[in-house]
Amino acid sequence: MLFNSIAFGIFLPIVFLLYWAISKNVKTQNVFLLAASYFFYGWWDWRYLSLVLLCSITNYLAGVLMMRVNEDSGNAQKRRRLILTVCCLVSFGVLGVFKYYDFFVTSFVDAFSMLGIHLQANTLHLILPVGISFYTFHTLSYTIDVYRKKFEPTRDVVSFFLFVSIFPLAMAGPIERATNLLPQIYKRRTFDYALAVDGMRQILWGLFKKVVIADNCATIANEIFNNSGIYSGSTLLLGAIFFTFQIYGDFSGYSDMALGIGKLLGFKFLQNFRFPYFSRDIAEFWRRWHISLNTWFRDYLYIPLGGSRGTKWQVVRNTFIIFLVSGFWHGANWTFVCWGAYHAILFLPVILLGKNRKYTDTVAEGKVLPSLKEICQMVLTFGLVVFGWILFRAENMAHAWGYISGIFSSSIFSMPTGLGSGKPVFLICAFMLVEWFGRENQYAIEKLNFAKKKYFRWAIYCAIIYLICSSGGEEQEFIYFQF
Amino acid sequence: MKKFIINIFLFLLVSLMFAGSLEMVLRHIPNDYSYKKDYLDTHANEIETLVLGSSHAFFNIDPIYFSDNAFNVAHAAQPLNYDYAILKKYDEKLVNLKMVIIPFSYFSLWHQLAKDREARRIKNYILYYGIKNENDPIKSHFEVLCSNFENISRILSYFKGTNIQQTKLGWGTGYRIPNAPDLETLGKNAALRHTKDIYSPENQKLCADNVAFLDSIIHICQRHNAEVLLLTTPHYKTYREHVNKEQLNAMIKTANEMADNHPNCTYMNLMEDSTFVSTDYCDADHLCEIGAKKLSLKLANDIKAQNLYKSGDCGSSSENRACWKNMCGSK
Repeated sequence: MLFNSIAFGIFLPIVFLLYWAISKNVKTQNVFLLAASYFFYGWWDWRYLSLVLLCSITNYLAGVLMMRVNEDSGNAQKRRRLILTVCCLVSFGVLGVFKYYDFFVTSFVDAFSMLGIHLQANTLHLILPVGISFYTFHTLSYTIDVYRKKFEPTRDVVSFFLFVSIFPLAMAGPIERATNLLPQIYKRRTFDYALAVDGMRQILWGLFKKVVIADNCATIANEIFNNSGIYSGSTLLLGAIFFTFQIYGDFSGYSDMALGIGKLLGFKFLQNFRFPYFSRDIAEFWRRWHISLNTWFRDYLYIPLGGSRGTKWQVVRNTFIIFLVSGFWHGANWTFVCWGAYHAILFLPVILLGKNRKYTDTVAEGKVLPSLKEICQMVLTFGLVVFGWILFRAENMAHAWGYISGIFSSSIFSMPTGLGSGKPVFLICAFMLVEWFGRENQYAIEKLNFAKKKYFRWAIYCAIIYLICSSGGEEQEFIYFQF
Repeated sequence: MKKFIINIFLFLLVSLMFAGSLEMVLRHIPNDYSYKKDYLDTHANEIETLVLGSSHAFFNIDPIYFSDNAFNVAHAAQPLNYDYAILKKYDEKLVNLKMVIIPFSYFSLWHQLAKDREARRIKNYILYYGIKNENDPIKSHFEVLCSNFENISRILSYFKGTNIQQTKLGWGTGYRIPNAPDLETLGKNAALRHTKDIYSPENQKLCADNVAFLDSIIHICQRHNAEVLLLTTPHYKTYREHVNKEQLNAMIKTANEMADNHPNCTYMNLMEDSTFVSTDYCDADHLCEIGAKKLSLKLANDIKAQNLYKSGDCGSSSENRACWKNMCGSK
């Protein structure tokens, strides 16, 4: 069930009304929400609910078993580590089989083919379960935190199972932390008018990003990427820029909708995007893009590896590991690995010079316009990110290479072709303007400070709805569903 | 909770009322589609020459230069399935039909509205012609859901009196001015936009469907004892230079096969006609007013000279046809 589908448009109001109508106690709320979440996930393919259940049971049992380990016994730490290892093996095993098995087999066969040894590839051709990377990481954060004694394991099956599968987050995150979400699940939620209104506003903005920005950009980006051989360098560059806005509108739009739906149900989820295209360097970009995944890797991979402490060689190694794994998390394709490596290369100078936390504030905070220096920094960072997205979007490395070589040809100086009307360009400009003025908020239209009167705000909402209904591009699935 | 639900309800009510009012207003503003539909409803029985097709007919063929009762029922991006649907809808009323002109362009066989950037035009056929297809999206049943920024300009154009951009006989007046300085870029852009992967299974099926629609059009015309002229309109050299030769040859081959297989069908290829110079073009594949006049007069004279209306002094209709086909110089 897509957030931008009619089915979800029917599902959400029903769940919302029933949820608050039967909201007598926390148990009823959680049981109802769990049922709704399974229905939501099962709507896509009910058979894959078994994987969600397997993931939930494994991690729940791991928590309970770790709780039962007698801390006074001499080998308590070893036993806890064993439980964590088994739990990780099961979780990553499922992920590996469904997401990476075919990739490893074909890569293995290809590698041997280069040596002149021809092997038979026995691939499984399994359908990738939607959201498997998200709920696997989401759940493992709980088990690792329990292992690190940052968090008391739960005995409440319903609460834990709800934590794993809660429907706004089930398909494409944000990857929540048990420390943030489970305490909210334990407590009875009471209806908060202001929070619900804020949620509706965020859903509206998320839908706008997805339907108006991402889907319109997708039409052009798909055309150019799918026929990259016939287009000029300037058009290819423009195609990459359109994809840059497509992926941002698509993924941050989904995250906004997820956060908004959470607010309607009385939850406050972690922010996943903070205007990443207004970043002044690549480190700032990574603090603002897919925040929940990046902090996950930071906390559970980068820091345990030593982080930015240790020798320069260790810092380089750790940076590459985190970016390569992050790239690989996105999909079983060398393009994603190269995308990760590309960003690692961009990130290295910043981290080696110790300037990775230089820009932790918002650009031009409290000002209307940025300085010339900030503009140059943002344009440069944006340009570097655009080139990274070419690797991300390409079908394979040959396609990516052809695309990039196409850009760096003499035709880069020609007029771009195949854009049709200027509508998408106009929409992007208008969208970025709104984002710029709202960059100090959680999402761009969080505070409509200039619209004090209720009816003026309603007029703005009506205008956004009108744009969503009339300017939407061809309906596209969310990009991050495939991850 | 109560306050929230009341506010949501009120907001939805206001939004729906606004959308409903806008829908009503938009549907009542006359447009090119409603005008042509009304014309066909009242004058179909008088029409002798009917021009179908896309913008290559809408802007390039002005029926005023035809000596008989002619009407241009083409619209921008109109594919063959809608040509067929319109012809079928007025089949019984077109009692005097003698000639149907269909532009047969580089992209015609691989063009459909559903997956085109012009998909928003589907709603015009549903709302104004009453032509519906099984897979029409829900949004195509409403003006407010389809036209994006055009809705605002449509309301403004109504007050300016420019909401109908065609003559009484259906010739599109939007492309009157020559645009020679941009012909270099425009030609390449248009050719690339019209180039398709003709070997993809999807496009092969689309091609077969479009051939079937064309076949059906010719059969309807045959019942009316009417001729069908497949016409490839003049294209500027920058367009021709950037077309895919395989796609172009496939299109020409199909047109010739149609002409060979149907006695009432002729193919005329003016794509490289050297009598059309840069000042005749509005862009690389559309003629401006001067060019449209030139083409329309040429067509009218050729039709008249060969007396294709099956009466007159040029001998039997089969002789006429042979003569006509020879003159058209199908390639």
